[in-house]
Amino acid sequence: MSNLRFALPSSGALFDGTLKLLDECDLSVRRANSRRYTADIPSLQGVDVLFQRQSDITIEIDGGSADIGVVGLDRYYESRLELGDTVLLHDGLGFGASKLVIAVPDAWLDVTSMADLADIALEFRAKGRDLRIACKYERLVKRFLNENDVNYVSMVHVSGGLEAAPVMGYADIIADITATGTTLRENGLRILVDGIVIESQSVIVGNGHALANDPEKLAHARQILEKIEASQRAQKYQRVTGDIQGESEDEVARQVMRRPELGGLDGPTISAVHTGKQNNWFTVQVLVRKSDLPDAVSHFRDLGGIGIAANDVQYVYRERCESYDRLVENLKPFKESGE
Amino acid sequence: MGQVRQTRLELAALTRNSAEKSLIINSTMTSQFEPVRRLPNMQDIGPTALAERDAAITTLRGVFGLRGYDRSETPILEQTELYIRKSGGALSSRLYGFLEPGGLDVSLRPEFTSAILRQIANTTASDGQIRLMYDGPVFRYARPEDEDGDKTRQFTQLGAEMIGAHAPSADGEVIAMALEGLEALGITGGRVVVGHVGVVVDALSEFNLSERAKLFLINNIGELKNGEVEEVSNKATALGFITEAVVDDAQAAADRERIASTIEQVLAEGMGVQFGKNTGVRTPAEIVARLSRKMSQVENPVDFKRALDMLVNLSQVSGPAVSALQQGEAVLSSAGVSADLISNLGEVLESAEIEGVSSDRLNIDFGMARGIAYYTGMLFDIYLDDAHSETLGGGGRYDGLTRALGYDRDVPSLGFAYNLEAVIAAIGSTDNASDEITMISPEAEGSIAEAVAKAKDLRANGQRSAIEFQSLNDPSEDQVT
Repeated sequence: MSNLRFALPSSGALFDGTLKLLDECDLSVRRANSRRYTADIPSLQGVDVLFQRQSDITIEIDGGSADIGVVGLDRYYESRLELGDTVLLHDGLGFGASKLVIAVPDAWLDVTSMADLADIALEFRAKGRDLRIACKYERLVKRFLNENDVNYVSMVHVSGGLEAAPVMGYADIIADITATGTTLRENGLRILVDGIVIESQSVIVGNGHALANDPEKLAHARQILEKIEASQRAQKYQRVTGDIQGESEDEVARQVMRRPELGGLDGPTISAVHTGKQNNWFTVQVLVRKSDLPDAVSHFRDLGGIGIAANDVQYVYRERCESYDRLVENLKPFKESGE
Repeated sequence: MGQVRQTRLELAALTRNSAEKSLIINSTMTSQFEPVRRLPNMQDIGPTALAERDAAITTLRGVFGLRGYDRSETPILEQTELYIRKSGGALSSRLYGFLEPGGLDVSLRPEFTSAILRQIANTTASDGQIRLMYDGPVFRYARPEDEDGDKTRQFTQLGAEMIGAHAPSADGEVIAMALEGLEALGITGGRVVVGHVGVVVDALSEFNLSERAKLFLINNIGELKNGEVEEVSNKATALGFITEAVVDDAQAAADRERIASTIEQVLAEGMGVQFGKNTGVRTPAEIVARLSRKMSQVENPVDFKRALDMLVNLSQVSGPAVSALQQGEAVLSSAGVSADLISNLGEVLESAEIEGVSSDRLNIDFGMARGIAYYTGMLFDIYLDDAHSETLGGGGRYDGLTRALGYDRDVPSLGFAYNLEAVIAAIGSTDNASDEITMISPEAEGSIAEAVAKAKDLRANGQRSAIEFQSLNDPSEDQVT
């Protein structure tokens, strides 16, 4: 039994996004100072936070020196060892969205699709040279090119500033991460219409072996997953409260439920308002999707509602934690029998 | 002399040191390192399974041998190029490729056909007919989340190639032999589903389409068969095969003229002005030349849509040969395409029946998609029964493969391969257990010499025998205790 080692990206968009997400889940990370690579989560004992370079997190989890971690899906697929024990715990934390794309010089007017690129690669080959691609994520890119019959390619290793490679002349085309495509456009590059290698966002991965065989670690991982899932779900909902007049709780409930889609996630909560004068006011609370909020307010008004207010909610829990259930299923092969 | 002696002493000391060092390493190995695991989706194969495989291989070689097929072998390792020339992305993205010590880009073979044809093209110039068979391991990688993610990445293929035969009867022979092999192994319910790439290609040729558009449609026939028409249409729209604007031939012609004049202007004024400076290693002239080539091939979206509709209908035609052939003809006729295209497929099936394959074991599927792009004519999959749950192998005709591999002639060729592990699983349990081994104990015999002599006698009589060494003391144990 030991602490759960939780690896977080030490910089960049994923660093900011992860800390914000954990704040929202009351799992704020406490770090003595920003140069320290270790930290803890005061509200969750038994968890050691390790700040790591994003490129190392999957490798550390594969190797067992961290138990779970936040990483980009693209990075995970690129650097995981399939022999390792890494499993996907959460498939979308909602930040760090990006695409790995194939882009060509804008002036290549004749090249719009991967089929064109396959053609160009053959033309290059006929002239005795390979199409040179500067890229991040060589494994993912090579496979994608092969799948699209772009075969005569040589990979050019570039550290940073990929976009400049075609202008500088050390590559013909590039495969790069982009969120909006603006930087590519500004550098005279154009994404091929079917040139998306992978659409990625931040995910949580974990060492299946460590989680399956250490109940304490698994329990901590569960708490983190539960809170993240409930918090993410809560962002889609608002609680609407209002006072509605009626003969009884049942009668008010019936009126509210005339629009079942606005009756809340599990039906309305109704309680009597004790004004001292009239006893036929009831406070009604429903949890509705944010997109249904205007409808819910109108519905309350139609029922003569007053004092209508809407609040954000922090967590919405369902009967089961889906990501935890999935995890338990995924951990079965790692369970050591007997000893 | 003194010098030499000292060197010897040093050497001895060195040897002793390294021996001690290796002892230290050995004693710490177990605690420091985890055991090396087998690669995922690879298998160790034990004596029973190997005996089963050997027996099946012997039987199948016998069946093919009687039909005049000789054995052939090619290297497991080949230049990667051999497999990417004509295989298509579905196979080339699954290669186990790496840089070998000599600096060449090589891959473990994912199939035999390309290598066998290379062998033939290199070694014979005759136009005669050649029949070859082969067996051995092949390697195909799949990611855990892929459709084949749980399949073994190394498996055994046993197959045959017939080179130099045009006639549909040759196709019939190959189909019949595939079923005959299964029967020899006791699998009597084998079924064959036959498709035809040639029919699809020829039918598409009757529309006014570019090679690019034709290739797109052929590559997506599997999706169309699965009813993913909308997805394919979306892809076609993204690639510009389908335009959303109302099609007006006059307008389209005017557009083309306008673009052509822009290109001329660009050529006159220089590329940089219009389209940015960076053309890389390609010259502006090369880009414009290819662009105009591409534009001259731009299809009329109406033609593309008609071809797509025809393929949607054709991909749905499957079932017993006679009715499927009729339905296929009907689809082609209603699309305005000559129904004669199907006649080759009819002849292939007829010749299989002449070989003795009953028609209820032959089904047609016009929507059959095969990941390997080199097929040009008939292609087929072999199934255990009518349920078509798991394929036991497959094959087809690939008349253009030799040219694609770089040789200056097309050699008509066809063949098929079994997935041997799937075939053996279909046989079910067989009695291939090896004979018992008689164990001889030196203790009981009196001495090692007597035990060895007894074992020799037994072996001379063809009986398996081995010495039981466990009863002898292990001297290392004495030291430890």
